[in-house]
Amino acid sequence: MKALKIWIGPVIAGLVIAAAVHMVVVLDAPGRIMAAAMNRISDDGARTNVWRHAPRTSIASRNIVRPSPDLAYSSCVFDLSNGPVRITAPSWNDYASLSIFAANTDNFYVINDRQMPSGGADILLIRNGSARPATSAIVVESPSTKGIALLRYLAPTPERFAAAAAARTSARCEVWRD
Amino acid sequence: MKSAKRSRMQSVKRTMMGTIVRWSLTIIVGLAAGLLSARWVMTSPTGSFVQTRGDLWRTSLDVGSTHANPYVRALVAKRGLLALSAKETIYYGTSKDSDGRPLREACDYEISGTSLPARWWSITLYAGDDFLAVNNDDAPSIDATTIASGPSGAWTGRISRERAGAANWISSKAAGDLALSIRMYNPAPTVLAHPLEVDLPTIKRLDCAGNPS
Repeated sequence: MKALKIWIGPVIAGLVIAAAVHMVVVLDAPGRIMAAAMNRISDDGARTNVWRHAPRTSIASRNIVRPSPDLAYSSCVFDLSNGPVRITAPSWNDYASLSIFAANTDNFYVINDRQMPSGGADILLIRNGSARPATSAIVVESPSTKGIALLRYLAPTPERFAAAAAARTSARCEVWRD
Repeated sequence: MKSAKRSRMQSVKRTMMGTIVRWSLTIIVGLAAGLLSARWVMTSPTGSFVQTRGDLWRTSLDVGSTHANPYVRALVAKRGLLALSAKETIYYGTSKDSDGRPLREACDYEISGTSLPARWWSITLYAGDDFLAVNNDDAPSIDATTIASGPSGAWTGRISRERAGAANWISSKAAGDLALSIRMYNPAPTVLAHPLEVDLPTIKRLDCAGNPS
């Protein structure tokens, strides 16, 4: 009995440690993984608020897990530290979407080609709670200062990818100047 | 006298050593259990993702959602970063065949289904590291715009290392332990209402490394 008793304290401590480590790792993972992805896309923060147009998805596409080989992707790491960021996406004659992800991975905004005005999407991204500027663009509040905007253009063939690559060159991701 | 004192000291020493060993052991086991269990829930969708009809595909409507629980959010970060929320896209995944056996590069499979209820859909094969399998076949997926199907929308495809004349082929060359992901962009309202009742493709194992299954 005594032999068992002396294990009670250590075993309870072990269980508490296991539960605490489990929760810390699970809760920390999204922010940590997202931060690593933002660093990869933005060259460790050197290229924020600018679209980066990825080449056609291939075996060399290893920045983000599970890429679709049928979509043309562009990504922009946004940083609202210096004020709102204007994000635009030209229209496309097939499925396309502009989606925005918070630093904790949440997809807090998405607009697809059928929801976009004929000229494409025009978004002004602001930090949530900050003043809404007067603008004709759609104002979207971000729950985090940093995050990722992503363009997806459906382009399953090399020909469609070339067309999408040409269409997306006019997309903007830049600090907004009033 | 001296001998009794030495014996007492040795006993105290043994007790202290025992205490240190017990606490060290449980702390190490606790740390390892916490890390391993976290790793497991972040890589295996068994807990927070629900099985669809036929027990083959798994999904969660909370992918990408601002309401996702910590387990869904962590798994999406690890294995599906930048996934869209369900209203825009629903994702289904599996790493086994219709008989519950793990999908392997060494085996050939027949995948068959019908046109899925979405504006656009695709089925993509990923290697064990969640990236495209490193081969030069340029056949990592089949999608709604290029798939060869019958008049009713029914189709059959082959998942294997060689095309073997298949009209619809997904190459599994160099994939190792592979996984499949279905994307349904702009899913029909019925999919959002009943995501577990969608008529999803079946995966039949044909043979493994030349041996019939």
